[in-house]
Amino acid sequence: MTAERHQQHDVRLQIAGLALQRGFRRLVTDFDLTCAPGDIIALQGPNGSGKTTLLRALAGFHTPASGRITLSRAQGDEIEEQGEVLSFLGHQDPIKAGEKLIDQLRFWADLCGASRDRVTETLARVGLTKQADLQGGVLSAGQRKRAALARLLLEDRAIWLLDEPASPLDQEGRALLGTLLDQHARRGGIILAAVHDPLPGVTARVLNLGTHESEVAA
Amino acid sequence: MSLLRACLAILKREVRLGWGAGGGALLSASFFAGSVMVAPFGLGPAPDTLGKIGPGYLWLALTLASLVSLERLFQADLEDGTLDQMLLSPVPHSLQVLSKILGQWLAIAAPLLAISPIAALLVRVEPEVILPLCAQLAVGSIGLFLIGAIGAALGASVRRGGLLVALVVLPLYAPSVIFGASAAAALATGGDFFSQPFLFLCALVLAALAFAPVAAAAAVRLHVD
Repeated sequence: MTAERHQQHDVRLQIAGLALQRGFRRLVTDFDLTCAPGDIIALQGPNGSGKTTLLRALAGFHTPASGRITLSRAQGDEIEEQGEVLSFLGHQDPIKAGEKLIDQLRFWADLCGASRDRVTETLARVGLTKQADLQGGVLSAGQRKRAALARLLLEDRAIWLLDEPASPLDQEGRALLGTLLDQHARRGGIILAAVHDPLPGVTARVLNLGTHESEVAA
Repeated sequence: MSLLRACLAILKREVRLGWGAGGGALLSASFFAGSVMVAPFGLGPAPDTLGKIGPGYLWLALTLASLVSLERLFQADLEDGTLDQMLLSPVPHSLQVLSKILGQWLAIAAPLLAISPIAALLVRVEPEVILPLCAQLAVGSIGLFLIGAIGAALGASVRRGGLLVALVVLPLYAPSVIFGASAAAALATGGDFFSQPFLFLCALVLAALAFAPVAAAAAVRLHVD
């Protein structure tokens, strides 16, 4: 455990009057949300209700039709660059078929400036030590998701945007996901996850998209 | 230097993926070799005709060979979500694109350039001209890859977008090919290595080095939405 691992995150996320559009279809209108450190939010809603689009808008990939997304630190200064504080785990796993798993994670470590020494340790944390020297192409869907989680841990950013994180994971994998989510929230991280089943291991605030009303549950 | 480390990581990964299983880095080189090998059959083996056309023909082969590899430059990363993650990294996107292009150039153009002296012999280029000519081809190929990346970025989300990429890129290639082939012709007729056309080519490559990564980064960003 390094010292940096214990460091608390202090990023806030504020969404005001957000409207999202795909083609001519309005998916989300007047969406407001404020997340403080430690918040876990489960986005629910039928297929096509805009869960993924909302996550992609937060990550800066999709331009909202209107509204404002603000990321700020506790001291109050705004953060311009999403890449400083946001990690995104989409439904595609960025795993290359022809490269060893360990090399792929080393690449992500290099790209986000994490120490290379943490790669083996992180692989152990997600239970992929034995698969480290396998090519990406032979990994199963669940193993690929675990590898993507390892990337999230390496990046060590405050806000996690997760799109269906649990879907290909087995029982043990879901328990692992629960532990990771819990640890992240305890450190002051924010988690927004698009899900159909409840997130394992943690209590989340549930937001329903598509019904145009948000309710607090669990 | 985390910026340098990130850029080198991208560059090395391109080479590793290109040369790894199914990477297809040798496709361009084999296309180049093949097109040069059939030249004597198509144009006739007579040394005087072939020797006259030879230097320009090498440029033609290089241009078409560099088109072959363009389609996949950004497509694979877009499909598997790697591009999303790279956009979320703290490294400026245009620098990432530049490292990626240079990585592809190393993986794809280096083998092509390595066989270019033999190719030059096959099309009867004068022996003393071969090495300077290949050096000019090397400089030109960097420019072709940089300019080609703009088209590759525009066509990244189009399935089987090779045709579209070629249509976008070929007109942009014209100046490099014109100056490159004129420089080669100047070499063949006993001119200087740093002839006027070659200096123009160098200027083009430098301009592409400055502008192409920015343009390609902006174009590839469009597909992420």
